[in-house]
Amino acid sequence: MFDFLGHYWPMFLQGTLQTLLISIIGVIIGFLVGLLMTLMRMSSVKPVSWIARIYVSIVRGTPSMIQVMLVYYFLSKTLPLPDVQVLGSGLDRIIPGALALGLNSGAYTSEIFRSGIISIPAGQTEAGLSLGMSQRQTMFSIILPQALRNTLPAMGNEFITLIKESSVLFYIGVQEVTAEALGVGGTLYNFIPPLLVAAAIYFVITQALSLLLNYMENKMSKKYTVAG
Amino acid sequence: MKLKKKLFAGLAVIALLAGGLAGCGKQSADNSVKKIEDKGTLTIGTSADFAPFEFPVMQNGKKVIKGYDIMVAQKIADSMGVKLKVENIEFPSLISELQNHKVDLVLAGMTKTKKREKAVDFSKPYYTESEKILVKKADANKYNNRADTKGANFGAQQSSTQETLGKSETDAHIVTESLTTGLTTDLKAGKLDGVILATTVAEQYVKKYPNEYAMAKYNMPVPKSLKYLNIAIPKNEPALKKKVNKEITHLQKTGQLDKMFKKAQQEQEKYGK
Repeated sequence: MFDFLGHYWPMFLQGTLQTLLISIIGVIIGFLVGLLMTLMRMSSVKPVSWIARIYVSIVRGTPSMIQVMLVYYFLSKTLPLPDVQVLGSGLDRIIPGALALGLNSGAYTSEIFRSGIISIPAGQTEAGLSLGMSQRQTMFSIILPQALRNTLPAMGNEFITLIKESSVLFYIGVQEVTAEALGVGGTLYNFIPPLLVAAAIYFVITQALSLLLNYMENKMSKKYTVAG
Repeated sequence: MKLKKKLFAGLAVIALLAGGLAGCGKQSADNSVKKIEDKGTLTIGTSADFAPFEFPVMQNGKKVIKGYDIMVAQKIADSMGVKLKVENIEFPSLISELQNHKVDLVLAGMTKTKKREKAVDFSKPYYTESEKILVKKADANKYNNRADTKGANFGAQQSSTQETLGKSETDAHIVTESLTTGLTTDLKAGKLDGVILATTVAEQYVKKYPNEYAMAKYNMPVPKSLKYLNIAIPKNEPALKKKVNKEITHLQKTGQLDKMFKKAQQEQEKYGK
């Protein structure tokens, strides 16, 4: 049933690397955008907080496939990206694709950050302030480190979603692993085995990621467990 | 044929929006052919999961997209004295890629529909397709005319030409799924009585699994609009259209189109083991 792999494995390998590439860029952009949006949302300057609110609503309220297409066509009209081939796709497709994934993920991560910050009792802020720390110091040295730890499980969920969601980039011609599987399925007149291979690849990637996140969670909790 | 109408309509709107945002101010003379010649490459868009029209293979350790559409595109590129570049993109995105000039032509087993014609231009037909009903071998003589199809359950790919045809030309109940392979699996399991497929595709199934499948005797009449495959060309590029049509006529007259199609089928059989 999987004889075709002997011949087609390089396509799956390249597709997997492409999926990893776009997901990693997407996760990094998503993390940064999410953090920025959370801080903007909690800003005391009203218009700034509105911008963040509107951003999150729009991104969460529209399908990611459409966002990818819009970012791609907007950038292709405004920014001359080079069509240098990286892992079987042009940069003029990879860059807008990964950017769109990140912008999409940013809206979700910002809500995750916000829930983490809300989860820290107000007493912590009060304690920081009464110790003579500034508003900013309290946020970055007391609230955020604890909030980050609380948000890790939800964040892991979001990263896993992003990896799986990255298959929408075939709509703009990025040759990620689902695209390769569909192609091989077309050649074989049999889609099921190549799709099973792609599913197994996604599973391995997401499992590796959740192990990594578990490890980080343990490491970050160490500070909070009472020694001895 | 792959004809995903709803998605296409949505994407056309997006493409129009994107076009509007950037403001199209190109009204100058048609230099479409010259632009391609200056670039030195003809870029075509296709969706390579549709053997024998376009499908990826591994050749000398490298992924290469092959098939009938690619051979025709290569001939057009040759006639212009330029290299051919193939972009593999999901089918519903192809029209907007063309409208935004990310690709020069689209060859993707595409039929000329009224909706698509609003967005892009089409060449003369370069392939004539017919449709067949694939059935289990035991049912080879069961469906001989339209009346025989009454009460049967036939499958067709979602939003495809075959779905349209099944609804208008048979009295069967039409079940749609997104993948053809899902439908043929259902047929094998006895959940469906038949699957409507392009003749070339149905033939390949019978050839590959001669003990499982057969072709029904009922020949559905296919309306003109669903019969031909055409090359999609951006609007307002008459020079490119003329060039493409000229090459198609040449390939037709010299019998090369038929030869290329046979070659594409042989290649699929060689690589699709």
